[in-house]
Order: sequence, then structure tokens, then C-alpha cells
Amino acid sequence: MIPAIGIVDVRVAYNGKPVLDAVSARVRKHSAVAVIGPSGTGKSTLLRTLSRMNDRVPGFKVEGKLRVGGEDVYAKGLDVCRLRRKVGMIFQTPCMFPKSIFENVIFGLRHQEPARSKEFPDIAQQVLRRVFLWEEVKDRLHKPAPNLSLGQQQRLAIARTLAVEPDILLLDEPTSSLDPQSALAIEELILSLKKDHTLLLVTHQLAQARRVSDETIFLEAGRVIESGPTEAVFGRPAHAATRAYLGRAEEA
Amino acid sequence: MTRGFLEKGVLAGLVFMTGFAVFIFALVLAEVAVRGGGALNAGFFLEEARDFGAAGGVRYQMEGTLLLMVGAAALGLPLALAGALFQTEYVDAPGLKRGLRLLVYSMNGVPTILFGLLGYLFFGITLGAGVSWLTGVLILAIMILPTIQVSVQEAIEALPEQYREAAGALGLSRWQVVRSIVLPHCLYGIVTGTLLGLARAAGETAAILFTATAFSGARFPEAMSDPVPTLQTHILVLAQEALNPRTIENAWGAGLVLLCLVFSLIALSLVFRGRLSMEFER
Repeated sequence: MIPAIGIVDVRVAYNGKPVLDAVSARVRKHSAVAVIGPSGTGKSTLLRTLSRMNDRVPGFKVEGKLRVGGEDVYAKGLDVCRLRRKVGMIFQTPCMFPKSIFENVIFGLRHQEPARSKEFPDIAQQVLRRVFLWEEVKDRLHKPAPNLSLGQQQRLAIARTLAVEPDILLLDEPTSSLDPQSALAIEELILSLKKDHTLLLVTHQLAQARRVSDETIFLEAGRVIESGPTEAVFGRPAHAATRAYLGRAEEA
Repeated sequence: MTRGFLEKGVLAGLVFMTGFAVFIFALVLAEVAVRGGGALNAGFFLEEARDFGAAGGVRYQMEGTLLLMVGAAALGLPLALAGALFQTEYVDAPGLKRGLRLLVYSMNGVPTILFGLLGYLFFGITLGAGVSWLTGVLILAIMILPTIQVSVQEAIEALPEQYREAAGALGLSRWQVVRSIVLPHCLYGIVTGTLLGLARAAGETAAILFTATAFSGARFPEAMSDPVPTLQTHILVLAQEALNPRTIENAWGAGLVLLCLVFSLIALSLVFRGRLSMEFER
């Protein structure tokens, strides 16, 4: 069976400085995989490389094979815009466009499928319900989105991504800038998204990775040290480096 | 010497230097207003110059100046905008980006007489446009192009990268990002740059003196190949050659009109900058 994401011997460097070294991983369809590891170990780079967000970064170089639904992410002539619609990315800090809540939700859709403009209100309602935001914003859809709280903005950013119907969601520390209550709301949302999407989540919060993910990849210094079912990685880590990292994180 | 004393000394120095600059500026304004104010009346704005500038007004000079400015902006703005967008949104190679940037900033510092000379040789003689409104517009457009482009570029570069990333992550193409995010954001830069470019064009004399303008015998141009009278040339010729005190006063009057025009454009650009920038941040 073709995995949702296939990463084979991927090496990434910025201006010759290696960031990812011989990284390989498989992500099954409709599963949630957490990527954990110390800061600066290449977790975010892995996500950005998958959605080709690093293409414009000067000195960025990638080798190896990255496949999404069997399609080579770096194939010559690949339509990057189509790839990014298939592989949605959620950033650490939500970025609201200086427009209304409604316009933010349908922002991607308005550019890609303008012919469906009559459906936009229904789609907006549907995705806002999926991120549990509808009840909070239904009476102020045409008010500026940047006025929402950070937690609400992050849910709105996820709704905006869901509106373009991606198969895969890449979540780059989506709760790190949020208060505990908002973080919990995002976590519940991630759990609810698992049944329709494949999720790859970068997080520093190990408890969150444990609660949310089916499998975990532990990265250190740009290399995959250990990967497997989340319960096994956390409960019976096979490598000393994993044990040391989990131990340090627990003490902190 | 105590630290507090030093700080007070620095502050006093800064206040003195700022005060000196403001004083010089006020002196120029007052001088032009006092010497030229007497010439201003309704007729000065509505009548054509007569008796070598000793009588009548500056109607055609004002129209000619505006015509050159509007033509230059209409031609310069699209070119500057395209240049700024290409450089910021489409060029990825850092070396090429730096090179283009250096070129634009260098162009901004080229003496305007060189624009006039080269423009006249190329447009006026080689392309056969002669001394005309068209030659003036082409020269001024190239001259104000870097002023507009620098302003637009700075506005685009002030846009946080996260907006581009968020839009790109939703599958928008570069052009869609430009159209929906970059252009609305840099609207204030476009307006500011255009107004500053217009102000620069309005104050320009050297580049258009022998390429686009005529002192006498010219009114509103009927064709693009006709020369135009402008305030700048009018002031220069009257101030250099007139002996009649009435003519000299009219030259100061024309100077006051030109000064007001330039200040109005700069003031407008500042208002737009503030307003549009706040609009985007809202």
C-alpha cells in the first residue's frame, strides 16, 4: 500500500550546512505522526521541505526522495501550487490576513475555485464548525480576523487550510504560542481531524505528542534516532539518546 | 565630565542643528512668500503671460507643468511597479537581487542634467521626437522611475514574510500572492512614491529645459510633438533676463505657485502613507 508520505534518505542543507541527514520515514494514510526532538534538529525543515516552502530560501538544497501519495515532491515540472493544496501547512504563529473572518476562511478557495463563490458561505460554516469556532464567530463573520484571540486565530488558520481540502496536514508546533486552554482546544481539534486527514505534527510538548499521535519519530542532529508506535517510543525507547531526551524533557 | 552633562550637551547640539535646518527652511518659505505673494491674484492663475512675463499670469505654465508631471507618472509608475515586483517577488538569486537594487539606488543619484542630455540625444534626435512634450514626458518618467521604485520596494520589503508563506501554503501562485497580499499592502508605497516622483518632476528644470519646454509662443500643446511652457523654465528665464521689477515679482509669484504645488504633493504623500499603512494594519 502506498504511504501518504514517503521519505527516503533525505538530506537537506542550507548553504552547504547539513540540517537533515539520511532521514527516512513512512506515514500511513489517516494516521497522526509526531516529530519530536531538541530545538534546531531539523523538525520544521522536514515539514517545510515536504510542502516545498523552502524553495525560495537562498542556499537550500535537498537530496533523496520525498513522496506524497506516491508523487515525487521534487519532480521536475511538478505544479507546486497543486502540491500545497494537497499538503496543507499550519504554522507555529497563526497569520491572519488583514481581512474579515469570512474572507480569511475562504481566502485560498476564492483564488483556486472562484466559480464556486455561491458555495463559499456554506463551506465557511462547515469548516468553522469542524474547528469548533462557528459558535464563537457566527455573529461576527465580517469583523476583522486579526482581532480574534491567538487560540481562535490558530483554529481559523486550520479552517482556512481545511477549506482547500488537503489530504495531508503538516502542523508545525501549532500550540506553542497558545495558552493551555487554547492549546487543549487545538489538541482536540487535531484528534478530530485524524479520521479524514493524514497528520504530521512537530511538537516540543511530549505529553501532547503522546496523546495525539499514533506514531512518533525522534530526530536528533538531523538524523532519525528512533521511530515507531508512540507507546513504544515513549514507553520502551530502544535507543539511549531517546531515553536521555525523554528523561531531560520530563525533568524540565 | 558627568554622564548627565554629556547627555544634555548632545541634546542641546541636536536641538540647535534641527532648529538651524528649520530656520533655513522657514527663511526660504518666507522669502518666496513675501516676494511672490504680491503677484498672486485670480488673474495670475487664469491668464497667459504677456509682455515678457511683466503682465498676465502663468496659466499655460501651470498646465504645462501638470501635463509633464501626469504624463511622467502615467509612464513611470507601471515601469517602477513592475521593476519593484520583479525584484522582490520573482528574483530568487541573492546576487541578482543585490545588483538590481544597487542599480535602482544608483539611478536615483544620477544628476538630472545627464537624464536630459541622454534623453534628448536618444528620444529627441535619434527617435526624432525633437523638443516636445513627448520627449519631456519620457525623460521625466525615466528620471522619477527610481524614486517611485525605491518607495514601492521599501513598502513591499516591509511586508512580513509570514503573509507570503501563509498565502503560498494555501496553494496560491506567486502572482496570486502579489495580487491579493503584496499589492494591497504596498498601496501606500505606490501612492507615496508616485507623489514624491511627481514632486521631483515638478521641481525639475535642467532635464527639460532644452528638451521639452519653450518660453514664448507655446500654449497648451495640441500634439505630442509640441513643446510646453512650464513654471520652472518660466521662473528661470524671467529671473535671468528680466530688468522690470514687475517681471521679477511675477517670477517670484510663479516660484511660490511651484513651491505650493511641490509641498502639497509631499504633504499628500505623508497623509496617504499614514492612512494606508494604518488601513492595512487594521
